[in-house]
This record gives sequence, C-alpha cells and structure tokens, in this order.
Amino acid sequence: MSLESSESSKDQPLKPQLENFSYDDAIVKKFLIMTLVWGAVALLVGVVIAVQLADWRFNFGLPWITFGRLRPLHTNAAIFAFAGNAIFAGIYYSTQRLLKTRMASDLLSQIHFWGWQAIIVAAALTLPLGYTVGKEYAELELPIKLAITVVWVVFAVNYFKTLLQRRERHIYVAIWFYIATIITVALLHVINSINLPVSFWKSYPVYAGVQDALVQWWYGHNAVAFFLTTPFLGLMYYFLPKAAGLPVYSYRLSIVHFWSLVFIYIWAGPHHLLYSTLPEWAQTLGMIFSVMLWAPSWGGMVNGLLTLRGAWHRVRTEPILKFFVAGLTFYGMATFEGPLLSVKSVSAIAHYTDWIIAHVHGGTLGWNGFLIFAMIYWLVPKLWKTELYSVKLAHVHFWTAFLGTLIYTVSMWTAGITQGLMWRAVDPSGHLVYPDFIETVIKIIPLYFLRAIGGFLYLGSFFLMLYNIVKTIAKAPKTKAPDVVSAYRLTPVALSNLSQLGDRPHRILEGLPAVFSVLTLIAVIVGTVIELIPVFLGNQHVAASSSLKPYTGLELHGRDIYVREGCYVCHSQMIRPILSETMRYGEYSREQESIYDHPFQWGSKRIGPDLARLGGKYPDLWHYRHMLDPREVTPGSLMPAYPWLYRDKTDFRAIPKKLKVMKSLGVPYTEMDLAQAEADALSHAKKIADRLISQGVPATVQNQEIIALIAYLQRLGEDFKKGLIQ
Amino acid sequence: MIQRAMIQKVLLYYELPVLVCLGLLLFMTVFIATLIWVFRKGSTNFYQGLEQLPLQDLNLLNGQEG
Ligand code: HEC
Repeated sequence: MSLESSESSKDQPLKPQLENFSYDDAIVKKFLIMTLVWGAVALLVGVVIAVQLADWRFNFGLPWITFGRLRPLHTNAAIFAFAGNAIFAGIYYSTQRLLKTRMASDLLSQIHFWGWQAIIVAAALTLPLGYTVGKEYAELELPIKLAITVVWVVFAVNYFKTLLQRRERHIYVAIWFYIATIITVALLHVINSINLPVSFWKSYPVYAGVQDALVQWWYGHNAVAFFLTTPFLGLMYYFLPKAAGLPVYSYRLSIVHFWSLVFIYIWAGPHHLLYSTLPEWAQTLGMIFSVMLWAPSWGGMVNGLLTLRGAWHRVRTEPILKFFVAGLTFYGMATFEGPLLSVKSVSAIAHYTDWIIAHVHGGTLGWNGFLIFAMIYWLVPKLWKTELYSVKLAHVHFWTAFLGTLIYTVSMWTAGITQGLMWRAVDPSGHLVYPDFIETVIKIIPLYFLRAIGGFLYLGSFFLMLYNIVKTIAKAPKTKAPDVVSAYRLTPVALSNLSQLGDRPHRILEGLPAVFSVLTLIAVIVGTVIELIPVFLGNQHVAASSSLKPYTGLELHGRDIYVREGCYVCHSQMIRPILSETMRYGEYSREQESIYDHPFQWGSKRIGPDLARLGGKYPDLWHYRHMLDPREVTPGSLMPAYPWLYRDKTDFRAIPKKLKVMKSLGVPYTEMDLAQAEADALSHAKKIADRLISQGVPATVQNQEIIALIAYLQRLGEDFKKGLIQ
Repeated sequence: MIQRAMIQKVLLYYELPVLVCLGLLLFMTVFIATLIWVFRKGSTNFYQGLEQLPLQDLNLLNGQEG
C-alpha cells in the first residue's frame, strides 16, 4: 500500500522513479470477444423463449428446451455472461489506465477469465438439464455457486492488489463504482447462496418462506443495482469522457451520485414483495427508498448527458456517442419507471404482468446493451490498432437495435397494462369480467408475436455488429509486441506525513481504497441489517408457534419437480389482499403457509394463474390430462406440455435424504417420518395412482413423476382450507 | 407465549415508523455529509485535476499513441 505508516519513510526525501511497464490488454481482448459470443447466445435464447410464448409448439415437447428451463438460462446468460464479460473487459481496460499500472497478477487475471467462462458453460449445461435452486438469477446449483465465490475472490484479490501498486495517487470515481461492485456482489452472492446439499446437484436454501423471499429479492434487486448499474456507471464515467474527449460534467455530482446510489439501492428490494406476506413496515421501507432512488439515478444520467455539452453535433455522425446518448436516455427512462412501479397502487396493477418485463428490457436492452455496444465500438479499434471496418454499419446497428428495443418495450407495456386491467375488471354486479384466466392470455398473444419481432430486430442488429467487429479485427495489423509506457512510481508516504500529498489531510480519502471500501461496506450493511434482522426475528416466532404439518415425502418430491421444471417462471403462489385477486383465486396468502418452503415459490410473473389455492380445485385426472396436453383441457393455453413426466420414474429412494435435510433446516419431521419416508411415499403414490387407474389411466402410472407432481399440486393451499391457518 | 405472540404481531403487521424514520435519517445524514464534503473549501482545483484523469494517456515509448 502506498500509504504505509512506516517510520523510516518519514525522514527520507521523496525520490520519484520512472518505471516502464505495459498494460495487460490481452485479457481485455479475451473478455471482449467472449462478450460478443455470450451476447449472441443470450439474445438468441431470449428470442427463442419469446417465440415459445407466442406459440407453445416451439417448446417441441423436449425437457431441456422447455420455457421453464430456458428462461433462467436467458436471464443468467444476459446478466452474468453477456453483461458480466463486458464489465470485466471495461474494468480491466480502464482500471489499468486510471491507476497507471498493469494488473497485479496476470495469472489471477487468467484464472478469473477461464474460471468465469467455465462457470458460464456449467450454467448453460445444468440449467437446461433442470439443475436449479429455483430462485431467480440465483438458480445455479451449489457447486457452481461455490465456483462463482472462488472466482470472484480471485478477481477481488487481483483488483485490490492492483490498487495497492498503482502509480496514480488519486482514485477516479469510476474505480469507486468498481470497488462497490466487487464488495457488494460478494456480500449478496454469499448470503443468498447459503444452501444445504441433498446431493451433488440438488440443494435447499437454509431460509424458508418470507425470509427466503426477502433475502432473495434483497439479492435480486441488488443484482440489478450492483451488477447492471454500478459497474456500468463506472464504465460510463470512464468511456464517455474518453469517447467525447471531454471531462465529466460535474465531478462533485458524481460523488454525490455515488454515495446516494450505493446507500439507497440496498434498501429497495422489498418493492418486489409489495402486498405479499412480507411485514408491512418492510414493504413501506422498500417503497420509500425505491422512490428516492429516482433522484441519484437521474443525477447520474444528467451528469452523463451534460458531459456531451458542446459536442452534441457529433452525436449525429459518431455512432459511439449515439449509443451513449440513447443508453443514458433509456437509463433515465428505466430509473423513472422503477420508482413509479414501486408505488403500491401502481404495483397492484403492474406486478406479475408484462409491464415488469418491459421495464427490465428498457434497462437491459436500452441501457446495458447500448453502453456495451458504445464501449465495444470504442475499444476494438484501440485494442487492435485499426479503424472500425464500417461506421455506416454501426449506424444501421444503432437504428435497428433502437427500433427493436422500442417495439419490445411498447408491446410489453401494452400487454402488461391490458392484462393487469383485465385481471382487475369487476362488473357492477360485483363479478369478475374475465373469470377465465385464459381469456386474458389469448388477448395478449398478438403482442407476444410483436415482442418476438422486436427481439429479432435486436438480435439481427447484434449480428451486424459482430460482422463489423470481425471485419475490423481481420484487417488489423498483426504486430504482437506490447506497447510500453512509463510512469513515476508512487513513493510511500507516512500517515504522519500527509502534507507530502500536497493537499490538506482530509483529501486523503480519495487516496485510501481501504477506508473507502470499509465505508462502502458500511453503507450497504446498514440497510441490510435494518431490513433483514427484524423479519428474521418475526418469522422465527411464526415458525415456532406453528402446528402445521410439513409436506409428505411424495409432495416434497413433487415440489422438487415443480422447481426443476421452472413452473415458478410462469406461476405465482402468492395471492395479494386485493379484491379482484381474492375473487379469482381465493383467500389471500398468509405468512404461515410458506414456513416450510425451502425455497419459497411465490414467483414474480403470472403467465399462468396463481396456484397458491390450487389444491382440491380439480380432480387428479384433470391435472393428469392437463400436464400431458394443456390444450386438451384449456383450449388456447400456451403452457408447455410435459410428456417426460409420464416417462421418467420417481426416484423413491431419494426421498428419505430430502426429508432428512429438511429436518436439519428446522422442518419438524419426526424420526418415524424419516424411517418410513420411502414406504410412505410409495403408498401415497399408490393411492393417487389407483384413483387414476380406476378412471382409465394406464396402470404404469404409479411410478411416474407425474404422480409426485400431482401430489404436490393438490397440497397447495390445503392447510388453509382445513382451517389450520387463520 | 403471550409475549412471543406480541412480538410476532408487532414485527408482522405494524408500520414500525421508527425503522422507516431511522432509514431516512441515516440517508439524510449521508447525503448532507457528502454535500458538505464535496463543497469543502479549496476542493474545486482538486476536482478539476481528478476530472482529467481518464483523459490523460501515458505516452507510448515504442511509437504509436495509446
Ligand atoms: C409458459 C408458461 C407456463 C409454464 C412454464 C407453466 N405453466 Fe401452467 N399454466 C400456464 C398458463 C398460461 C395456464 C392457463 C391455461 C391453462 O389452464 O393451461 C396455466 C395453467 C396451469 C394450471 C391450472 C391452474 C388453474 O387454476 O386453472 C396448473 C395446475 C398449472 N398450470 C401447473 C403448471 C405446472 C405444474 C408447471 C410446471 C411443470 C407449469 N404449470 C408450467 C402457463 C405455464
């Protein structure tokens, strides 16, 4: 560290020493190329699932490309593979320049790169195979979660070591954003990943029900904040001034922007849980802080846009600036919309609908995507020492992507608001105007087609960029020798000798990454503690005073199938205390109902109806036929068919271990339950199977997975109906 | 048992305005402190220097400009 308080340095005169070194640009190039590769994959999978919603036949009856398994692949690929690699490329490039040093360890950089790609490949293989924890953007199973932790630590160690051996005393604001990202993502990932394994590829979160929901959305929202926002703002504060050739509009504003954003963001998670069984006060906190987020977000946007003061005429001719301006505008739009959606009365209409999908894609396609494109167009010619192959093509890319984003968001806004209003519509006699859920689905299918077209345009425009970049790299000179630069080494300064910095001592903050990191950590921990701890305490009391019976072994097994198939991406299990909703689904959900749910399955999107009170609504045979061919019982349904549940056998022997792990998580199974788990599950399955067989179903049904799933579906909401919950 | 039920009720259903106020108060403190910090005397030149950091490229010793 350059600011060691060593006694000896106090008396020694400063001897500036000029040092030669080169930047590690090979690592930047690698991350950049993988950004392009994974970007194509993420967008392609996105278009596939968009088409699957427009026409169910595109699920092809194949387990590993069915919507419920592919959607998590799309979100994970977009966030962690596409945006992730772009972030790393930008961070490695800008950090080395801002700190006037090479990364501390090439080896660690390489481990980071290869480790991250291996994780992505593992994700791309396991998610379609149905290995999932069942929590959004945290689906990856335990072994991969552990690998992420290790690779992240490698990245962090390398990063902080680089900070310590920097040749620039002052730390530019972009680096602050990177540090906040590194620290907070580590915290979020670790806390939300505490799972107990059942087998190598199956684990249960230690949290249940409302606790799990709160931890998950504290994580989920801050994945948006600290993976899709803070690093991108850091990149914006570096690459926008670079591209414009102008300093940031207001450095002061960037500091206020930083601290306000970091402090406020961490509180906002509960806006995903409005009207749920999360305690009222936590919902209120989440809502208030979400509304407040609008201010720092717009502060950042304004700071970015005003950086172009005097350069606006260049936006017409330079595609890079075009992408920056449009990206910042989309950022402004998304960060206005977010606070709006966090207001309870707006959330009442918008939650569970496609409005949220529009919101997310305004942010990801418009803000993250465009910023990445701007960065790529700026970086590639620099790194490969050449000119962009075609500026004209880049303009075409811009307009096609812009149009695609617009079509996407407008169609999803329309779909969301239409469906939201249809769900709520009550006629003067007090009845639901659209009691059949499917009516509200059929209405918006044309918009699903339109959305797919928007997605196609965006994907197509991405391929234009890919072509442009490949051509650019192909015509680059083939020189291999790295560039050598030189900078003065920083002389260690004793803390007692701060005046040597030429500034008054209080300015030392900007030069002290350690102090800064601690302050950032405090800022994010304060909100975390105040929100999480009371909910944990409250939930403990609920669990302790509960007399509810946990799931039977077969039901639990069926629940795992529900998680594996990603039913939660289309179905919620959380009925809000809103009149039209209780009229449609039954009594609103109670906290006790999910105390044994590791993980919670409240969902966030209703492409299909809520299932919290499904038990007993239909006979077993209905489910048997529905899962085999949803359109046979509900014409017009877009739900995929699940033929493999009628082929694959239930692994009854796996059930005792599951109960055992659940018991160690606090679910009150008795020793007897554990000892008889397999036999109980078999006889439970036989009971359901016998009923079905008597109704004409083939006799082979008893060992099929569908039986376990039916057992679970019929259990949903049963405790409430039996009067076990008030 | 009564006490436990009471704690549960409070934590579940009440607004707990204390926590909301505490959150806001903490934020206002951070916000105002940051404002005072960035407008401290003599900081203008300092920030003007910082602002230039991304625009300063080191000269390449082996020819081309970076
Ligand atoms: C692509 C989104 C999608 C996925 C994935 C999905 N569903 Fe559905 N589901 C729907 C839609 C739409 C409906 C309404 C039309 C219908 O009844 O088929 C529905 C209806 C249902 C119903 C009837 C609910 C009622 O109250 O009428 C059940 C039960 C159901 N789904 C269970 C499941 C299960 C179990 C899974 C996972 C194996 C699943 N769904 C996966 C979209 C989906």
